Amino acid sequence: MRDGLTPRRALLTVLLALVLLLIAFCVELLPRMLRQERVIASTPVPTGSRQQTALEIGPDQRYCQEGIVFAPEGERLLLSLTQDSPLPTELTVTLRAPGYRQRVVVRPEGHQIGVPLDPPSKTVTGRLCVGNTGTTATQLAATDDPRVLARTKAVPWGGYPLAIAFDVTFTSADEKSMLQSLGTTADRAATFNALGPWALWLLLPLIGLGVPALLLGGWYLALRAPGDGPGDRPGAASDERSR
Amino acid sequence: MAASRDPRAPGAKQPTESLGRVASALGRRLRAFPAPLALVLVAAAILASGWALLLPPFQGPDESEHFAYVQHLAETGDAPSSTTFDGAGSHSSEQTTAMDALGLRMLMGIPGARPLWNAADQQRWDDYERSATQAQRSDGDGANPIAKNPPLYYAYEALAYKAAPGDSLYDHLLATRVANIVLFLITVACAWLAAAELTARIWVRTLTAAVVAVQPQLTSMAGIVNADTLLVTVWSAFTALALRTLVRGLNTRRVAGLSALAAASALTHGRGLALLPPLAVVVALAWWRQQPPIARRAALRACGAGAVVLAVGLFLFRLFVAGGGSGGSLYGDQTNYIHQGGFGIGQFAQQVWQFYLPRLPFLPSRVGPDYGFRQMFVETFFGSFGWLEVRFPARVYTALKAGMLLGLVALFWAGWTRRELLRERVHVLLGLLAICGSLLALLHLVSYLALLGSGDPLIVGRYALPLIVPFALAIAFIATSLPRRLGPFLGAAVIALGIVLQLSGMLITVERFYA
Repeated sequence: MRDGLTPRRALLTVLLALVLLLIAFCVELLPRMLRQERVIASTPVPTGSRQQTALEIGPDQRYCQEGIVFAPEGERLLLSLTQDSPLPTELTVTLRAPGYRQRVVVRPEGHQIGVPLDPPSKTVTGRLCVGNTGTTATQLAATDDPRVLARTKAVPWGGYPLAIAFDVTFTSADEKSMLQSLGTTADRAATFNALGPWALWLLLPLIGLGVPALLLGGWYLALRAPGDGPGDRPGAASDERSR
Repeated sequence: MAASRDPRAPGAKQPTESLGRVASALGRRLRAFPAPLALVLVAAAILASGWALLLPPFQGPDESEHFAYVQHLAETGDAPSSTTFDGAGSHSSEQTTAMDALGLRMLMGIPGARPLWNAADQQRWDDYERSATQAQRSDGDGANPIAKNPPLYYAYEALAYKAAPGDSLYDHLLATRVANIVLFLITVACAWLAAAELTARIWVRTLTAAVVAVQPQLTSMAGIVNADTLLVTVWSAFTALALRTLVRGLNTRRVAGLSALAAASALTHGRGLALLPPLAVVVALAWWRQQPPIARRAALRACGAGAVVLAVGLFLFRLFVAGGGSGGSLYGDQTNYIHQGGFGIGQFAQQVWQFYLPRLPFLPSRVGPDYGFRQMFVETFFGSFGWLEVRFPARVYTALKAGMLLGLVALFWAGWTRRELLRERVHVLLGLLAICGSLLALLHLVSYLALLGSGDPLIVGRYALPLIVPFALAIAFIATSLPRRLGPFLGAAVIALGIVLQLSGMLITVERFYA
């Protein structure tokens, strides 16, 4: 039988792992958790779909999309223009749902257009329209991904639904870090599992602290443990001899 | 009555005593269970549970199709069809509604998309779920592309589906994901057992098990419904038993066990067929190296038992093929690549060369996209989560690639410095090489044949996860080959790196789906 490491040496290896963990936490994890970004509230027509296309919108033209959910946390609407399209002089955005109505005029200064909103006090479903009230034709970033079109399609004013939908994303007005919006994040994750938020709140410390403690605790015990006798392991015996 | 309550009464003493004996035996067994392994298993269970709860439904590779197969099998007793369109299609009405109503379908592979967590959509979904009927859960008759897989994994998952505490889709999905976690824990335990055949040192076994437990891609796969997890478990068990057979010698039970695992592998996935050649190699090597030489009759008995087990497995498979969802052909159309025209052995060899190494000036350009070692053995082996769209920053993959290359150099160095040991145990080494080589050869062959017919290389890192135990053993071998006392430090660093990758992977996944 072979003795394990001395307590001091075993502790040293665990300390090394802890130091590495701490460094990685500060370099890789913490900056990500503290990075300030607008929190996405919903993505009725997400950007970056695999089937990106463009929706031409000329002066005095207007397109609407039905079935859009307006939520209290959707304080800012994000629209996109295709990279090579000219900037329109003016767009008019209208949101309409039972008990909720809003009209905002924007003069885009870039291809990403952030439209500040006064969100409804409770979640409602309605229609979002974008009209080109300027003098220059432009192109809204859009998609013809059938998965997206199953929920909504762009409809020209007075026309029929097209097999295309322009990108729509709602975000928070202020930037927040992941750490600041931890509660919201946990609630959202809990929406899609059978156990609810309590399981996630329980898992959070277990993953963040319990897993490192268990693995490094196990590692310490393993280093301290004597070998379990090379005699019953022909391979192990030769392994020991080779050292 | 009084007599039965009296512990001294002869009639009552026996059951009490036998109960005590059972409890004491159980206590002894529990005390004998290695504490480091227990801690690693608990950590592995927590990590896999985290993935199971954090990933939204159907956001693992092909999870929607795998779950649809499980649901159809559990609800109807039959596998769905891989060829015939019927019922509600590849998914049940309930699953289709969930994917559309909760935005889960458009979430797949689109990083800018988020699931529909808002109250209005959730209310609509709840209303639907309350009135969902058994018919709406069982009409995913096909065509389901995954239905070409053999039924073993889905039969196992169907038991979990049936055992779910509630009737909702979320209940069923969670139950099936938890069943997958159990397979993952068996894989971790197999890594320990494999190492235990090679070394008496507890820290080396712990390191081997821990490497498997913290491999982020494997852990994330453990948290979703996918047949790859069972394939990994079966291959890990085979590796452990193969090492036991090579180290301790052939006997009937071991050969039967190896054959059963090879059959289970073939009954799990088309890729599982790659375990048949290693079965033959391991048995032959064990026979060759057995000391004292095994008696001819005993060897024949062992091989006969193995052959019977394999034959039963193949018979079960044939039964499934005849009446199951694969359209009556071997693994559906999966093996049709074999008939792909244009195969050339020279082109295949240069294709494999260019997968790992830069193109030599005299070689023609490879077939298909620029996809090779980094994409398979680094990016999609260590961590491409969700539908492969959730990825670590590029610098992490670059560092991991450097680590892999350094590890390969260290492995060759360790092999050279311990060549005496390897010469003594060359049969063990050859057995492990047969297991690794067989899978990699099959993956490359299928990839090459697929590229001849389309632009998809059809090879990702998770297909190599059945080799996770040899991978962990290689790290342990390097650690034990380092100058005295340095091995434990390398082990500590590897475990710390694994923890960081896990936490980082979970964080970017949370960010992608919920932030």
